[in-house]
Amino acid sequence: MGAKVLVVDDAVFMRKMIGDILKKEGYEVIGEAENGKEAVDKYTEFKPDLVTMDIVMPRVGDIDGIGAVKQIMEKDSRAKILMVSAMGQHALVVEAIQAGAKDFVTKPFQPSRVIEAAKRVLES
Amino acid sequence: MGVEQYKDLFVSESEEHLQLINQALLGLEKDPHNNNILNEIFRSAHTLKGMSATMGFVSFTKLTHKMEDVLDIFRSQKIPVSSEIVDSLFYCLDTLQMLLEEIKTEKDLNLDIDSVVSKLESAIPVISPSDSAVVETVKELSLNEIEKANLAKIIKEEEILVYKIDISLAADCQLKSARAFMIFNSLDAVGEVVKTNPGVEDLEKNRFGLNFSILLLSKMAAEKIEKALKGIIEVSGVNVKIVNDVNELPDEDYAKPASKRPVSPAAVPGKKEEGPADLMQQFGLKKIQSIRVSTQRLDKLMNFVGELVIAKIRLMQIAQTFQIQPLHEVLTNIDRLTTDLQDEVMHARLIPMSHVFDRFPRMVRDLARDKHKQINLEVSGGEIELDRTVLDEIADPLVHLLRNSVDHGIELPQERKEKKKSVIGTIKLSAYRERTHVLIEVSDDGKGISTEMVRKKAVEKGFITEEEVLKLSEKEVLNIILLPGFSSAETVTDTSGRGVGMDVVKMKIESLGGTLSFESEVGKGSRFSLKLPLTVAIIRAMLVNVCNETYATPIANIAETVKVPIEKIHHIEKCEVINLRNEIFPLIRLQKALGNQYLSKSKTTATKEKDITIVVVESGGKKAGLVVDEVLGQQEVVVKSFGILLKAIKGFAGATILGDGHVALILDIGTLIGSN
Repeated sequence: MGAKVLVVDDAVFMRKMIGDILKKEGYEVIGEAENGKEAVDKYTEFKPDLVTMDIVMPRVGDIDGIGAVKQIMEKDSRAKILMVSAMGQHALVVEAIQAGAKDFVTKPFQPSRVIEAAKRVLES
Repeated sequence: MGVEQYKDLFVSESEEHLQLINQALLGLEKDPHNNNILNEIFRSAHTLKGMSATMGFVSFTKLTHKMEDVLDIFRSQKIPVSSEIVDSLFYCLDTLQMLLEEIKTEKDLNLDIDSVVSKLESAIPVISPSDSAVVETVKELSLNEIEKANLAKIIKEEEILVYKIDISLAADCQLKSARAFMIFNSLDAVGEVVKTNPGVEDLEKNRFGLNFSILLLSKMAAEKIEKALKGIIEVSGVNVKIVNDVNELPDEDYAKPASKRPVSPAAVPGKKEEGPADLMQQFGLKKIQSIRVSTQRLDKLMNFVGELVIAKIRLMQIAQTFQIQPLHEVLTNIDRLTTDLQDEVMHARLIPMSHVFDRFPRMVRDLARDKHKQINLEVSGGEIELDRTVLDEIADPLVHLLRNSVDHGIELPQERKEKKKSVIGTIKLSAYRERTHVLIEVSDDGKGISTEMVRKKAVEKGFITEEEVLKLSEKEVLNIILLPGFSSAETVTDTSGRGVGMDVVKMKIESLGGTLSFESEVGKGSRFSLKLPLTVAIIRAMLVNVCNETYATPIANIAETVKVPIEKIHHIEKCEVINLRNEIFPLIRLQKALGNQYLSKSKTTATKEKDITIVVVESGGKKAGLVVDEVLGQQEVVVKSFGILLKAIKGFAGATILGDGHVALILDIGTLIGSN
């Protein structure tokens, strides 16, 4: 079985697409979350090998994307988080990486990029 | 990658976001300083941009990108938005909606995106220069004299190497600055970055092409550094060279402070907004978390459940007749399960009212603008759920009622001022749940309906004679506006028009098994109330026997069932009426009302019984007594509508299959009372 992935994005569309790309490559999507709070909860529940995290998400329970990265890293310093960002989010990406995210991909992305990034993050 | 399969998902999710933006824009218009709302719109535009770019919808991406740019200017500079901006954002939103329509239908609507973009741009007071302008540097990485001296000293004193690293990013790399940051981050692990070309600030602000150079101090071997860098995605080329003599590097013309590494951009404004966590909730919106099931499938499911309910009832009758104990036990279980199943399926068909309500604030806003009126629409109860079929049908009547309120109800600001009312008129649209019904009210604080005017108009139009009109109570006069062809507006406007009258609204509501009532006070306003059943597929009905036929009467229409002595029947102008607790209402005899000479003689008339059984029914605020031979009991019935062939038959709302397999007709109380 491939690595277990938690896909976090507030758009169903994006979750589906990222999930499909990863599944095709043999990864197992063990869970999805649509906000930072859910991401933290599901991370604790599923202990995934990899998390893909949307960077711009509505604040729920005072946790946004970056907040989720911080909380997950606090719980598990070896957590492997791949940020998914759109164009023009330089500052947030940098903040996420400083918070412990391992890498990022930018929307619109090529599936090969996502796979490449996922592999690299898992190897790190 | 085949993105076609994601189109449906894209469309439905985009619709949600457009709706969200619509709500938020309306909120922004009222509160132009609210940065939280601005952020909310920004986020939706941002999500839309990301999704459409992934799908490859160029125009959609272009427009949402522009929207995002504009919104970013406002939110980062904290400028209150002008009404022009809101207008052009609305315009933009409309265009997006059309674009989505284009995507949905795959028809080219020839939309002019550029004009929308330029409209947006022209509404911005100052366009800040874009940070992402690419300046390709041809300059080599260079050092000034002091730097060179320092470096030479370090190399000599410590066992450290100087590397000049040239890095090329992949052509499709989009967040170059963040990627550069990642590269610096990984170089941190192997050494120390002393200089970059272009400068750190330019790298941070995205002001570079695909290539940049770094001067690194490290104790590691070149291969290791190269390997670390090649492990980063979006890095297409790495060239690591050892610099043996710092003087090999070109001289820098001017002294420039060399910062060690890119500074974290925590100082970027507008990123850490505090505020209410969920603006969606603030606007009374409900996020849809659902899978998509076609409505046809739901209808089918409902139909099957209906059949199951019928089968269950038959089985129960068999168990009753033959008194089989084990069967009884199983049936109790099946009964509970089917009830639960029926409940669940019914709820699956329920949709929050907000689906219809959400379009109204925008509509009222636009209408009010057209009419130069100032109107505040207060919507409540959007979370109340209603059957999809019912909801689909009430949208038009509600539009009509709201238009009426805007057009005929609320006065012009000047007029309101003179009447010492608040200049801004209020229209309230609210929904409540009342057991198996949903109440929807549209009320306004406008001028109300003048009974004088209605009287005059009714006589003019020949609905009623002058003598008759004087006999009518105020309430009855008001009810005249519900008659077909009556329009109380003095002039026909393009808002309310003449197309649909109140009679159509009333008919529509009643065809759904609901009722329409209203009250109005001159100078104070009007209130229209719609009472609607939660669902129309399965109803509770009272089974009655008339002339050896079984009929189902919807419980919703029944006020009470009484037995009265035959002497209590009075005759008023050949009409049979009954006086029940000082309330006088007509009696309906089915054989007469339905005009069926084939019906066998009613038991009551045949045997001249002393008491007659009356089911008191009501519809549209009117009561009548339905004379029946026998009340058989209450039951849930699955409504099967008539086919086209039988649709013209008045008096019946449909048919149902009873437990014993017989078909019973469901009485349409509304038309029965009306035709009596």
